[in-house]
Amino acid sequence: MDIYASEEEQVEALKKWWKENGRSIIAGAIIGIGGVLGWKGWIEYQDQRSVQASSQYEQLVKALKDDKKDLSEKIVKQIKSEYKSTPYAVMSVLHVAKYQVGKADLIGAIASLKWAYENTNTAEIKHVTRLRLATAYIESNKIDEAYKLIKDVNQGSFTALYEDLLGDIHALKNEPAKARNNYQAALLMGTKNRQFIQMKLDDLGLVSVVEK
Amino acid sequence: MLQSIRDKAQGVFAWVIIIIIIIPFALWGIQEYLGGGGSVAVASVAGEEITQREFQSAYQNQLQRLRGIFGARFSQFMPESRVKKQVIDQLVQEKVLLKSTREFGYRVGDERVIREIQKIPAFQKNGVFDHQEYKRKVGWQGMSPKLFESRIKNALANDQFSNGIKDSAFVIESNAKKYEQLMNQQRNFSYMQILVSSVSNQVKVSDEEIKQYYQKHLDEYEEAEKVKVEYIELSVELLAKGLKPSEKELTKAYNDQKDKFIEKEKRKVSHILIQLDDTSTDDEKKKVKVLAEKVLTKVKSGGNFSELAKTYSDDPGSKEQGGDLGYINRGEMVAEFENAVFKMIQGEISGLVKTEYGYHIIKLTELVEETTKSFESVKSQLVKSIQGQEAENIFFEKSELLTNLVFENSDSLEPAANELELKIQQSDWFSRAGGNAFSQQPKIISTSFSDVVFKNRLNSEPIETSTNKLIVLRFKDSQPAKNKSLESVKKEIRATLKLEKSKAMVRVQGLKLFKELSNGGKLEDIAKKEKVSVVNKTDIMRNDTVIPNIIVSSVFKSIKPANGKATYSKAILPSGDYVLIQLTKVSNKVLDKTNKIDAIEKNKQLIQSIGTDEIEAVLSGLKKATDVQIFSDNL
Repeated sequence: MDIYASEEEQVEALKKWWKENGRSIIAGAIIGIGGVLGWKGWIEYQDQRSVQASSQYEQLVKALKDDKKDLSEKIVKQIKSEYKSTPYAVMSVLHVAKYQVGKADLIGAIASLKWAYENTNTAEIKHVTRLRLATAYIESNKIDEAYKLIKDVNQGSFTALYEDLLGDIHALKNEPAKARNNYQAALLMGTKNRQFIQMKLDDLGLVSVVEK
Repeated sequence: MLQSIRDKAQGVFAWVIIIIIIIPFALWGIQEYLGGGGSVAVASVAGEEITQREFQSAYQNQLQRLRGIFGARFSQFMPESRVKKQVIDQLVQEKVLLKSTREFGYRVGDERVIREIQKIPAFQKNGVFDHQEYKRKVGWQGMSPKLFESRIKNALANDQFSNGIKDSAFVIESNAKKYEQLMNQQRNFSYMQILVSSVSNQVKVSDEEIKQYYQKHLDEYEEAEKVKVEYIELSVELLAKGLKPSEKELTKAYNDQKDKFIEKEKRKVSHILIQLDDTSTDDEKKKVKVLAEKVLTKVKSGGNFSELAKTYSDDPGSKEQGGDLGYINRGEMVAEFENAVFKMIQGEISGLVKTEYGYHIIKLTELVEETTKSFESVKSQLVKSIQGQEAENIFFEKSELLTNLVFENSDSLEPAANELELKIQQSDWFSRAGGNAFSQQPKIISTSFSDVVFKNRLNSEPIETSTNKLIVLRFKDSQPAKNKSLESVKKEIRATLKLEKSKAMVRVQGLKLFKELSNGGKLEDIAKKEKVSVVNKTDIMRNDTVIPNIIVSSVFKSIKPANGKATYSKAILPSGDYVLIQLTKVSNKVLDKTNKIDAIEKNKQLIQSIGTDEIEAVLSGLKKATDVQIFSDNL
């Protein structure tokens, strides 16, 4: 500090420094603050769109519950086109698929589930949509397509559900030994469907001999 | 040097530096104040911490819930560590869900939040949302409305996600049908049993075998460590027995409590009311009086009072009972009525008594004079109450003395026993599993085997085994754990071995017969040969509760018979009995209407379990993908 002999000299030095660097500091500050504000604004805008999608989604769920087909189609079309980047698009379509299954519209359900399957970018929802799509395939007798869809996937936390479905597929393909392995694997995991799976397993009938 | 710093530290530049230094110090730790403290973390979820305070509040809530469900004793079968783990897992799960739904972009608007809050009944007054009430009740929870609203917002977004998955789950028709069909399946079958008891007389067990078994299972034949204690008991009950209240005391107590022994006079009345309306005209009033007089004449001339009441009385409360009003006390009736009643003698019938209700004709049907219970008849009652009161006083005095005496003379019970005139008693032998009525009390057992008593051989503290009863005990004698002698357990071992051998024999026999069946033997023939009967069952369903579960389960695991060919299976019951089963027919129960409704309900359950499986898999997947750390030491 000894280089600044007196107070005047110190002030002088500061002024000089400011003259040299002042502009860039102000510019930097403006860019910095502007950037932060801009980013915040963008996030807020995204949130705003999510909120809009959220309210549309709730209307859709209600319309489906009230069996208003036309209204629900209108809403889901809007969500799919305007709010595709929000998670509400896929979730909406999942509800539509359930509605279609209930109305025995399997072609529609498969189309919906396929769209949801292809358009979700969340790993866990991917599992859910894949499982449901495969189930819909089975219902419309497209056993091979169902099998292809789920046979080699990494099952993650969904082992019980995959193995149960694989068991159904193998049973339908008349491969009871394989089905048995699947059901047993499913029962090893925690599942609320234990009773049904156990019944399906037992019904394969593999523990007795046939009369001669 | 300090002087030189002081000299220099005065200019503008120095101030600038000081301010730069001050700022971080001033703001250091400010988040502690903003965040509300409690900053020791019990877990971290993707860098976000769960504080000890959050954990504690959730933990206390959970304890309260468990206490509500299982009562105060829940901790006996649910250790603290398990409850803590449950709570922390739940909190982590919530955090993971919150973080994920936020990241995925689930958002709920303010309007929705407001609607939701207004729906909560606790914030309503007369069914309408009340802002003051809302602020007050949220404040009780230690929250600001803003914080509460943001929590609701998060909860709603979470619900959208998890309910979205759960509620969009479906069951395809083929599966629903399969389920229904499996549930309603019924099977026809026959079975025969080879009983363990049928072979047991062929089984021999040698002494050598028993000895071997004994040596191999020595640890099972151990007699537990036992203890014998001596003790003194101070109780209100015992103290009371020793008290003999004097005649004088009793007389005094009798006189003091005389009020309690007086049975008040009782008067039972009936009446006939001829109602008089305030608004009626004089003419009408006259008519009423004439009627009343007419009824009175009938009563006085020997008419049946209760019949007349039924006919004429305007008092709907007593009319049907023949005018009976039951026993009445002073102060219960209007003054005019009361005055008349308390002047009458038994059986007397009044004249017309006018009250605000109209004209009454009153009959005193019963009069019980006031009586006082005699001293002799309440003497035993008095003795008991004096004994109890005095014993309680003595108990409280003596219990303090007892505590001091057994503490000061911790090597013996005698000083306390002598001073307080108590008898030193001795228990029987007992182990940690308890013994007789005295030694099976949990407090007695735990104290007897405590370090103070069992190891250090000192007096125990006074133990309150029940209210108004204290026990002090000390070690008398002990018996170490030891092996039971072979002789004493021989019988038991013989029975065990015999059963084991019989079971093994039945198993060999059963398997041999099952092979015969498999090679074309007939169940009936085999049964005949074995001299057992065949049981035939038709239309048995899975949930049958009459036939042993293991048999039914085996039947439903069997291959279905085809082309008229039966299938065979076997089962071993817990008793060791061996069962050979012949399955002949599988069919489906024909459903009637009630079953159909049941099927719809079952279908709903099916959808629910799939939805639950799905959301649970989603949540556990999300958790696996998140960096979760739990600091167990801080729990």
